[in-house]
Amino acid sequence: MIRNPERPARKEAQEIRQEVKRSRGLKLSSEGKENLAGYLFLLPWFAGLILLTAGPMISSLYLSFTNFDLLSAPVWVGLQNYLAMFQDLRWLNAVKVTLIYVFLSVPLKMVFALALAMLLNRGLRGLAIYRAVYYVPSLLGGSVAIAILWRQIFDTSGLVNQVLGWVGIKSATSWISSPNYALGTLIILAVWQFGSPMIIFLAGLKQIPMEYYEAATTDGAGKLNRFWHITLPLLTPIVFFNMILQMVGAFQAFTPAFIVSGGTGGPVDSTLFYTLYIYQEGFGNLHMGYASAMAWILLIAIALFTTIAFLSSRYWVFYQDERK
Amino acid sequence: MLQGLPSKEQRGWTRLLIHIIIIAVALLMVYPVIWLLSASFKPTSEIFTSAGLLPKVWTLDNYFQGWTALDYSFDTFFANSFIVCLGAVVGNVISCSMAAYAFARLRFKFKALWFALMLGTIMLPYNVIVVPQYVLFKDLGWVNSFLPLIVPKFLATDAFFIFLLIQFIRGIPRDLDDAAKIDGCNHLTMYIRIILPLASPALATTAIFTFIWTWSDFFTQLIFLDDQSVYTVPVALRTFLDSTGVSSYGQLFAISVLSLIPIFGFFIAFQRLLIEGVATSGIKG
Amino acid sequence: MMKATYNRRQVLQMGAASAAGLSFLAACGGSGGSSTTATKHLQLFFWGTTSRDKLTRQAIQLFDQKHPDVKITSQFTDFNSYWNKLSTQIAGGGAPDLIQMDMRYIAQYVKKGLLLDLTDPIAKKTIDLSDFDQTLLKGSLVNGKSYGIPLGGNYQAQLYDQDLIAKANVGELPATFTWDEFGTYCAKLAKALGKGVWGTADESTNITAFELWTRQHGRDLYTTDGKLGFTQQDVSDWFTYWSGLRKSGACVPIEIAAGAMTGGTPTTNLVKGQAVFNLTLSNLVDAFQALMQHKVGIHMTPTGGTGAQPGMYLKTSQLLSVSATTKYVSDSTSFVGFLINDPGAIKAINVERGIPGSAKAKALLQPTLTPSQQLVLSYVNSVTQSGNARPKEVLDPAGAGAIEQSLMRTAQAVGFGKTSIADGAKSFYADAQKALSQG
Repeated sequence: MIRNPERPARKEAQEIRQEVKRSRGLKLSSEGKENLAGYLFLLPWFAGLILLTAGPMISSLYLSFTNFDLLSAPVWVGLQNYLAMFQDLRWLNAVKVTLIYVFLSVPLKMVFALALAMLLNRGLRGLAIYRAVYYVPSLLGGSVAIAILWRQIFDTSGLVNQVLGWVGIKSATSWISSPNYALGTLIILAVWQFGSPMIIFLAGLKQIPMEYYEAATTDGAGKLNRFWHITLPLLTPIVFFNMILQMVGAFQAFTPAFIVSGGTGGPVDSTLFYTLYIYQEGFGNLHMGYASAMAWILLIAIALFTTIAFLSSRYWVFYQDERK
Repeated sequence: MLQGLPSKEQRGWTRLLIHIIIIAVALLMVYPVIWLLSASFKPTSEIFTSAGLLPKVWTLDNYFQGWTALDYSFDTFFANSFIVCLGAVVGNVISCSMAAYAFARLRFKFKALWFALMLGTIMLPYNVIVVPQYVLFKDLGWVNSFLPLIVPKFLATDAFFIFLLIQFIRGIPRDLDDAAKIDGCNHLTMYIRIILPLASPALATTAIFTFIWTWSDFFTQLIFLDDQSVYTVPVALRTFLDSTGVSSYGQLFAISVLSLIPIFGFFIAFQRLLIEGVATSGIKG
Repeated sequence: MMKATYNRRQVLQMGAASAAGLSFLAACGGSGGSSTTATKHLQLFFWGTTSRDKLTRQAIQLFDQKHPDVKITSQFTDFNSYWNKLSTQIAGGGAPDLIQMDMRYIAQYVKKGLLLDLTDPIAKKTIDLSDFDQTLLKGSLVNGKSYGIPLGGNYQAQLYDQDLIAKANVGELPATFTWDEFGTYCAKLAKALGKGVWGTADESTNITAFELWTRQHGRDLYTTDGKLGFTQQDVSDWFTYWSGLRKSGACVPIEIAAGAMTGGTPTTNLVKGQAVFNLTLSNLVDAFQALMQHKVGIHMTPTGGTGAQPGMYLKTSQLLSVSATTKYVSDSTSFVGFLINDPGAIKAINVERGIPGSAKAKALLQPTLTPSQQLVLSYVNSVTQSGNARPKEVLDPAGAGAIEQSLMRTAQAVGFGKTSIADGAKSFYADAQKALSQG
């Protein structure tokens, strides 16, 4: 029988449990029990990892060291794919395009998502309708319809130029066909679909107990105070989550560029997202080995950024389940 | 708006301003659906040649012809999509919450390593592992069925949701857990009776996103489904367009409108769980 | 009773529940198609749209009726997704028995030994090609052998907006024109039609057009030993020509051109009413007409002028091949023959895949064609007789796809002024060589 001397207050309950355990013939400490519990709860995930994910991931790692055209067996080439990458102008361009996309669209999206979530959390009339409406863009997602529409809106005589005309700015630029602005339209497309992080923020806001707000108001705290000292800190796990996932998602963004540029990444590769380039090389030109190598570089880059984010989170994310 | 105590007048203006902003943004959100709707009632030759939202010629042909354009009518495809999506939802909700509970609440050996691996699986782009996965499912004989689309969800392969649920569960204070433990609850009971109910906004979010993303997931469904009898809506929709032949844009738009209805419906049904929020009146200070 | 540890029964119950769930799903999942009778199951995979599918189904039904021991199931998807799925299937070890093929890809697939050599079935008349268009057939061979039978042929063509030509009123459309004459005519059109409409779409990015240009200089894009056939000077002259057209206003400005390349037919300048001429393939008339309210006409592409060689060639639109690993060689090949020669099948698939190669088929279909289909058929016949075409005898090697994309990018870059014509020509030529070497 193992006693845990650090928890004298629970000793009684503990003892009773040990008695029961002993009578069943099992000798598990509470840590051992928790260990087992952990692994049992993780069982489905483990199964998925081993059976479905690990295999393909290792496979793709192997493929990254080969030339593989899908139609015949892979041929080992060692580091060739990785070395070729850094001399590949299109690859360098894809990196640049993706970095711009990530670091512009993610913050903007988060700001909109949080702002609208806060606005919608005020218990306005018709809240449910607004929330559903704001989510509509995310529902339309990567559909062909959106592609066609987006091209029309940002074209020479599209909605954007019309609206600019109303405010007195005469513009005949086809934003979507210009190498300088096409990426901008995709960033706007991303931000327009802020519905997903917004829903998550809303769920997070809902989880903050009303008592905290009530207590603060009784203490005389104003709106700004309440936001800064209650809402924001308690929301930090969600902010962190959204930030990570939006960032990972943006690095892997594929559909917007694919459908708006017709899969070309144009004009002049200005919308060549990294995963679009992977797709072009892998499935288009049947250089699956090269594509796999590029994918692994992407994974390393994302892991790097995520690790930085995690390390920084210690300083600004506050979890309620921390024991003091 | 964020000053001390605004006067009644100021509050009135503020509320009006907020309403205007919200409505304006809402219109921006909804414009594409309106455009889609209007295009679905236009004959294909008019869609790209006449500007303006209102069709010059109204037609329901796109809907009727589109519905029966393939060898099976779209009710088969809608039904298939439903089966796949509901299976995915059930799978994700169960398996991801289990894994999340473990990561968020339990201590066990190598936890940090598994956590890092779990996050790692989110970072590899799917179209690189799809070919090895295809080979695997082919060897199992699961190709041309729904199994490759649903079984992974029961095995928590959508690490996105694991991470989501972890963050939510970690936001639930441990006081209730401790109280329950004293009452003699084991982990399973705690998971079912305490954590799951408290995390219901997150579970609802998981359900909604899983449904919506699975409903529109084209690539996986294209790769694993061969016969039209098992086609889902996205795969069937893609057959309306082809660069080498005559594409039926009108029909595409019409059926796209129809396919928005289930996702919208599912969203509205589940978002009440999001609203209801969390009864946390059991927290002791 | 207090539970202090895991009830194994509970865990097993969970397991049983999920197993039950899985077996339910397995039952729900589609049929694997296996039956216990002696029926032979063949798979046909093709790209196209729902209209093509309906026609194909009719042909398949006719075949199945005549061959009760065979059942063919067909799948289809759009052109781009088709190659993704096909290559994935092959990587997974299972190719369909009957595979629709494209001239750009066939060399690769033959190289990997994935397609059946059809010499034998042709000789045995299982696939009867006795009245088949020999030019079309010759243009579809790989290494001198047939690995797929052309289902249709088309020529390069200038599609144009008849209504706009009438409106511009700058004189009748000449029966033929050289590139320079074409440029002048388009400039006149642009001037007459006013703002927002130009004479021609920007074909500098179009490999089909560049191929015509090269062939008119007596070269082909590629040589028989898999190297580049065109010279850097060819590229530079090509870019210069289009730069001139842009300056004279004959051709759409580069931004309008860029917008035309993103979304298939609906975004082309012709459909959007921004350009009168659009260079493409003759069998796309229907595709364009379906999206437009103006009438679409078809015209021969510009010639190289005196001393130049004919540029156009009869191009196989798509072929039907048989997988090298099929279990049912005789049934698959007889289906191919059936599609080509059986009157019912001919009527079923019609000219939707292109003008058929068999003379009998052409005669059979002639009376049933719609006006726009008649247009295409008469165009194809007139080009063949005009002397403006000569066969193309070099297959596109692997890497041709990448070269096509590179031309698009580079020509755009030149158009946007991001690179000079000389540098653009140089970089495109270098890209092309690299693409060929990577295969």
